[in-house]
Amino acid sequence: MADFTPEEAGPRRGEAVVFWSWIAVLAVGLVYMITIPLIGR
Amino acid sequence: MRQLRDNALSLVFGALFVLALAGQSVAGWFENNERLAQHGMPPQAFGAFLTSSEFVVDVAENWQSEFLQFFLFIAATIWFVQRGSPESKKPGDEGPGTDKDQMVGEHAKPDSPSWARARGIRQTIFSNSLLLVMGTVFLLSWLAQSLAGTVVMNSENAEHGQAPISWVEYLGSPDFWNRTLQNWQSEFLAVGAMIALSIFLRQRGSSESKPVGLPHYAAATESE
Repeated sequence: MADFTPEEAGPRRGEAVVFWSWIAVLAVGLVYMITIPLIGR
Repeated sequence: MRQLRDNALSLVFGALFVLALAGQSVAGWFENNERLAQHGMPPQAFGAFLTSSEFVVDVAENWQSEFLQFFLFIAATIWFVQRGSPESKKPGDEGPGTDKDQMVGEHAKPDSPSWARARGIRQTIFSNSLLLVMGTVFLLSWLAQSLAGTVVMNSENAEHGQAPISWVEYLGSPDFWNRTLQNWQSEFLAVGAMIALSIFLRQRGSSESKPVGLPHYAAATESE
């Protein structure tokens, strides 16, 4: 049995987790980088 | 194991990002403490450096340029082509494409995303969502670079007994534009090189290359 999920199997939770994890990294990074100088550090 | 293989490309780049950022933070901390020592000032704790504008400005200037690169690459490939490059559509295919080609509205498939089937503003937003997000991250990163750069410049001004400058004044400063353009030039060079070199060069097995045996004049999409 192949240890990967073929496209024909339809959507899986993994790709949604990957997508939202990267969105979270970007959001946290941007908030962090904008907040630090605004509080004068 | 299946989950790892299904998502390996994202996971590899996520791990590389974390390792590189960790390395940058340590190297930047050492460099900043060397600079402080040269000015006869005490060294900074690692935690204090991580929450300083000195660290933020170096991270943000690279973020903004990378996201500008992809923003422009995505936008330019709508309207411009490079004959023979797998990074480009074929000559004659310029433009946003027909609703049928893009499978939107009445041409949506049963398993198409719901916003592709929707009409009006929802379809417009979803049809441009990649460009919108990349552009937003670029603008916010550039904003962060400018804010942190102002704090760093004012810190250096204070060390030299000079008056602080405003954010607007910093936007016109050589430091801001040197940090900005030194990153932009390298991004534009790399993207242009990728587009041009992939006409005649190949990487067997990579989705960024056309198949090894495809003629130089053909784009990868023509082999499908």
